[in-house]
Amino acid sequence: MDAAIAIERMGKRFANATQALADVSLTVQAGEFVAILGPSGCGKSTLLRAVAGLEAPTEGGIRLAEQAHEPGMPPTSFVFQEPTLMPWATVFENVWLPLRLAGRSRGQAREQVHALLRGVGLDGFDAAYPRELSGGMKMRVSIARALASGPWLLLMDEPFAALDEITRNRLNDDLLLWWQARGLTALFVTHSVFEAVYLSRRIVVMSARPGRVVAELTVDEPYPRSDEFRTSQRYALMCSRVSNALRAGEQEAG
Amino acid sequence: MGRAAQEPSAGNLSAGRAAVVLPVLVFVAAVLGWEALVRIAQIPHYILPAPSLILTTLWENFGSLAHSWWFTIKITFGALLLSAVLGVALAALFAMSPWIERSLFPFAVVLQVTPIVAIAPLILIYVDSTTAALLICAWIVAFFPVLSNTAIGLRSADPNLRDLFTMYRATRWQRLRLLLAPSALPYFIAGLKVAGGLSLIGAVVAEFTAGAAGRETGLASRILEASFRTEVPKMFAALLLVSFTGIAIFLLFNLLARRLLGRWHESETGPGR
Repeated sequence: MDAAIAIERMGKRFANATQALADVSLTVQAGEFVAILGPSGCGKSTLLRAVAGLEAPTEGGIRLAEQAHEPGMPPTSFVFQEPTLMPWATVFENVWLPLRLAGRSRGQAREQVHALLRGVGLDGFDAAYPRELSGGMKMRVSIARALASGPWLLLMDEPFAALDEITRNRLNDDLLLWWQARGLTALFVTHSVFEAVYLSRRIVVMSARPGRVVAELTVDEPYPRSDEFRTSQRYALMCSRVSNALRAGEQEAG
Repeated sequence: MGRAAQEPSAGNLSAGRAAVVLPVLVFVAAVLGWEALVRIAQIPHYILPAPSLILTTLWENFGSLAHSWWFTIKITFGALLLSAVLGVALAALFAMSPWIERSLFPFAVVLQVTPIVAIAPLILIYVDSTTAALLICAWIVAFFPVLSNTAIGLRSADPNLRDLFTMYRATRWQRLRLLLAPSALPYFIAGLKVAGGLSLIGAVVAEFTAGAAGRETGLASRILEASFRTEVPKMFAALLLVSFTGIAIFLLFNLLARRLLGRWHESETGPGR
């Protein structure tokens, strides 16, 4: 097996005895885009945080394969639900952060940060402060920062949940472009069926109390995807299949 | 159309101007009323001096008063500087170790809640130099807001940003400099604003307690001294300088807050996007 991520029978029980995750197994291949879909409280964020190394599993384990990434940098990047920018720092300084923490000076990082900002469509905003940006632009800065460390694995925790639909659709399209261009592996947590179907090749459906995997569905639609897919019969059909799996999982949980 | 669109902004402008003009008008009216009251009722100057007499007294005695004023300013800013440095250092220590915080915080509270008038005589006994004793008294009054605010500020960093720093393997120093210190800055400034006023109060109160001892004396001693001689206009003149110092400190820190936080923090930017 040359899985990029192998999660084996993982469980997580918090100190207050809440069983957040139980018996979760999941294999992700390099270069895959996998969505983790579930109702709130199903432990999907905990699962993502465990993959990032921010939570330690109490049962089972997580193995990440050695993949090519920027030397001296962590192999994974995390995009939070909020943009999580430093309000006192400019857009440039926020994107510079991962490089700065690795010891790269402003001058050494300048070209790379500017290239990243161009890449996310924020050319010329380097001197702006986060409060001067819209929600969508803040999220673009957040993604640029995540890409700055040159990871192979991108972990995203409902990054577009707080955005309006038009902005979210545009960011979904752009995200797929960035993911493909950089050959990333992506784990994307969401509670939106539509977003999961549009973005991912595989959807892992989870259920709450305790959080566990109840279904895995494959979206047979080649990339790049476009608005044509979003309005197609295939998309509607896939969405209803995923919705059914989600509902079945919830009923099973009671 | 054009007039309708202009109206709200014109309204705002006059409201902004009124915010400056109204207090000034009220102040001028109060001073004039005071002057008129003293003249019409012929109140003797050793009971209530007229504002004009206070200003003349200030002018005539400025040479000697300025010396005391400078002394009070030195004590005030010395205590403020000590509060800022020691308050931040102690808060940083608290942030690094909850055990240190739990062990030392009660002492800080005790110092804070005990009235300075009650401690000052003891400090004057134990410390030889009056100047040093006054500095310590003013510091005790002023340092607590800096300490408690900065300690809260250092704990208030966004937990997600903390996680981010952990993932990027930030060193302790990087975390302090790039995350904790900027997060604590608005809290520190708020503490400093309070401490600015308190260190002036501390400097004056401590000197009252110390009495007019020592070679160098501040404004409080001059007020005491003038009261012994029932030189009421001089008391008011010294009081005027104390108030002026307090107002100057207030404005100074408001300016500092705007310079340091203006571009990013809600307290200075107002309701934005």
